[in-house]
Amino acid sequence: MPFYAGIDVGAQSIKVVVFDGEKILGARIVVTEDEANRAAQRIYEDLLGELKLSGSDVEKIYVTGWGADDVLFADGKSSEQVCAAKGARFLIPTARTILDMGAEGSRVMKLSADGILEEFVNNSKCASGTGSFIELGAVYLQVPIEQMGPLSLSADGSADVSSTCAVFAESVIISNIHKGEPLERIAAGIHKSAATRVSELLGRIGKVDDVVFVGGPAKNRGLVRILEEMSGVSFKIPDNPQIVVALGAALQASTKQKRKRRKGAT
Amino acid sequence: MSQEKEVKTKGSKKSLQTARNTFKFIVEDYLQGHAHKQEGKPVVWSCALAEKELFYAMGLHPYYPENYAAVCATQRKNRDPSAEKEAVRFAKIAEQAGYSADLCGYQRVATGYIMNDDLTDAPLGGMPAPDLMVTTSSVCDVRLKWFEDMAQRLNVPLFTLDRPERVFNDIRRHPMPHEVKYYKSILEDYMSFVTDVTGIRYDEDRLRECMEWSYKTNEVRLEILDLRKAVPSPMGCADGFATMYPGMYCSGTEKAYNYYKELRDEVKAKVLAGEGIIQNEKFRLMWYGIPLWFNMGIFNYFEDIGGVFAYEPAYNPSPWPQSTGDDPLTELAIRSLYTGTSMSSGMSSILEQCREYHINGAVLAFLLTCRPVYLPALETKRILEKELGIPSVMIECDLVDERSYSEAQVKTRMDAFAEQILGQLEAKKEVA
Repeated sequence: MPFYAGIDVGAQSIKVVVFDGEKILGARIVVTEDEANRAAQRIYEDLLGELKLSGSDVEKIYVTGWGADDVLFADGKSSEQVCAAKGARFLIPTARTILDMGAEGSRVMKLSADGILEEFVNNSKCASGTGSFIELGAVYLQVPIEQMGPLSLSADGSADVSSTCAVFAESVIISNIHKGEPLERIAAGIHKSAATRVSELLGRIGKVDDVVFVGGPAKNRGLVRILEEMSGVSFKIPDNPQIVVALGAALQASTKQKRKRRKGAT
Repeated sequence: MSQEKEVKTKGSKKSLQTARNTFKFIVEDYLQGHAHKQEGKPVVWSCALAEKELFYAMGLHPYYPENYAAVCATQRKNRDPSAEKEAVRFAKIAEQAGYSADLCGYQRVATGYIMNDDLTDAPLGGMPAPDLMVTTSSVCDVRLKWFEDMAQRLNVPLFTLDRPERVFNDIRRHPMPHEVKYYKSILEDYMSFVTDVTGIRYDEDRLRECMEWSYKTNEVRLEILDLRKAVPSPMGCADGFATMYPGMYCSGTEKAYNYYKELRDEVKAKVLAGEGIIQNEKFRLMWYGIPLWFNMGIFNYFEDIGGVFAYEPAYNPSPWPQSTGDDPLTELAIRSLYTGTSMSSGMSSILEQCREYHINGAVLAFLLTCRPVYLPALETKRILEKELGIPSVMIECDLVDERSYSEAQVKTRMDAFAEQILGQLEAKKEVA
């Protein structure tokens, strides 16, 4: 059986998925500061070892993400937008709109009924509306990032946090802390700030159900709840939303290889 | 993993020899202007959409701060590759004086340039100091206060060509008599203004002669546009933007007419030979808006995968009303009033052009610092998708200030856009 690999080199972490053409065999997510090519190679080889596979078992490797150009051992690359759409559609075949929220960028893709990418929109250059903005908020509140969601869900409202600019928002967060605003209300305010930017993207593209939310921040239940309230969307979230883009890259590897074979056969 | 990547910008690869020769044309025009000034003749600073015949007919050599800002966006001091672009150097001077980085890049660069004190410490030896300035109310609101600001700083008189903004659904309808009367009176005031400042008197025959060159030039430019509809594309946006200077800024001169005749002949030969910008053309794109002057190489971005930028609506001529041979100021007023700024008629034209130029996708310059380009961009995106099913992608930045450009972000969008278009073409092929 042929195997395929997808690697998503994000701004903060590298995600690797190995796929057999029908299901995910294994996945890894590693936060790394290392040089992209070396780190991706190491994570990929570790995953192969865990799956008891060797490099020769993998027919094709596709790479995506901000650091895709730096990964030299891949056979091809594909954009984050296309990979997120492919991965989400594979896991949730009714997906028509995909929100992918990453550490330093958010994007929304709209698909036709038969799954062709019709349109996409990205966040502007500001970091507000991205995962790193929420992480920064967690640093100021001195809570682990995993606790941001539960903290926010326990709030009886939210503190005002600007959504215009991440830098302004930071100073407002600090000011709220100094004023003695409860941490849970500030956490809710941070999520509200990020959600405002993201719901603008959903509005701009004219979302169509089902809307699938992928990327690390999709695991944050506090953010999801505020975003759903704000945008009027009920998200479908895959079990492991962080690996969906890497899965999309593996699917691209599989599709391209099958197409190549078909061409070779004709 | 998240380290800032270096901004990578470069010039474009042009496919036409005439386009490659344009910089020489610009340099010669600048040198002529410097010689003109040294002979004690007057120099005017002005802008696009001011009628250029008005300058040549009155013996003025025109310079254009906005175009100069674009030149500065391509040049580094002493051609030192480690130096920042001249546009960035000048924009910083303006910003240090308090001009916001959110203002138009053309304005910041030009203002920084004149605040630098030495007007010759700049590309092409700079623009000679003006004796007068002429701006227009047409299209861009920034140019009114920007030119007032420059005129005050340089202590020179300023005239504003106050042209009615004709914002209604069919801008091609003939201007109303009261509009013509008003704008002709403005043109007459302009003539008196120049006479007061320079002593040069209005010569009707001279203006008529300049207008004849303009009409002839416009006709040749329209022929070129028609030729550009050919498949494969014989002349893309890299060539289109590179060749706009003579038409936009030297209209009314014989040299501009000769330039476009040569360009037309070159494009025609390519069309007859069936020769395109690239060998295997798979998809054709439109560039909406003003280009990123600091990164014209973007027009070659998709060529490796069969994509060409085939058409750009900006700076192109439109058909003029037929010359009547009557009073040239009336004729000029009527002609100018044919140029309108209505978004709805602009959208109709874009849709028509996308059909004629066989466009598969559009890249929209979402110029955050340029309201006349920024606002219609949203409607352009919406209507292309709705009416023609043409996808588009937006690139956010300034026209000349490369600090506003995020290479990683643009690249990721462009790559996704290419996959989107190729995916759609593939799907259509499978259905067929």
